[in-house]
Amino acid sequence: MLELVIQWLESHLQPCVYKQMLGFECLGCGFQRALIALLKGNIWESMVLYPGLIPMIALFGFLIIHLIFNFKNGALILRYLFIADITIIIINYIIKIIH
Amino acid sequence: MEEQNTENQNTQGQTPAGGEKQMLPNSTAVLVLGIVSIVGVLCTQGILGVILGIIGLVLASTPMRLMKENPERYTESSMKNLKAGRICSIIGVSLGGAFLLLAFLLLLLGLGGFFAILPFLDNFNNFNVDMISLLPF
Repeated sequence: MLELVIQWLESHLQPCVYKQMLGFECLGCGFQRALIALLKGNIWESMVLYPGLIPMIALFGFLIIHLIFNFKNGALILRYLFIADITIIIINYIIKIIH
Repeated sequence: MEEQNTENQNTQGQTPAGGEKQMLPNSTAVLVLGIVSIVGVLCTQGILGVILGIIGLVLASTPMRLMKENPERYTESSMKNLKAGRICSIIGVSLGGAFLLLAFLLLLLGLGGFFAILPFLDNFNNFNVDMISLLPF
């Protein structure tokens, strides 16, 4: 089942409009490759390709858990996870563009 | 009309005798939209992120007003959800908007092959200065 999902994802990679038209990568470039690497089990490869992916999965997992159980400080934790994730993505993007 | 509206809200806004608190309307939806907007920014080059974020902000406006009028009437968790969702929406909109603006400016500068795609704008190809090589990175 998982292999089928990976195969489908690999054959349906969506090209980046920015990269095609403007010649440089966008904020989300590497996201799909990192997701496929993570599904294959290569956590390190996924972190190298796109460090923001794993915090984002944690963010969504926590969002679903928070919506079900309604933690006391859940919204606060979600907010800080969100800001941390955005910071990771932007720093990674700047590093990627400079190199 | 407005006075009537505010009167209605005030009469509704009084805390019921039992002291039972309500959920703010839309607070969960705003939280979800705010957090999903970041995926929109990443996966669709900003467009979907801006749309979702703006929907989140619009949905958040009414409950924000209700919350300011009488905060003691609503549950604390829904207020926190609303605030967090609003902040996430604002970040999503600003990030996606900044990126879209950057792309638009670069297109206006005649960068990239965008104008070459449009057949009726052949003259624009003369303005295709390779700005990428001028950028410091």
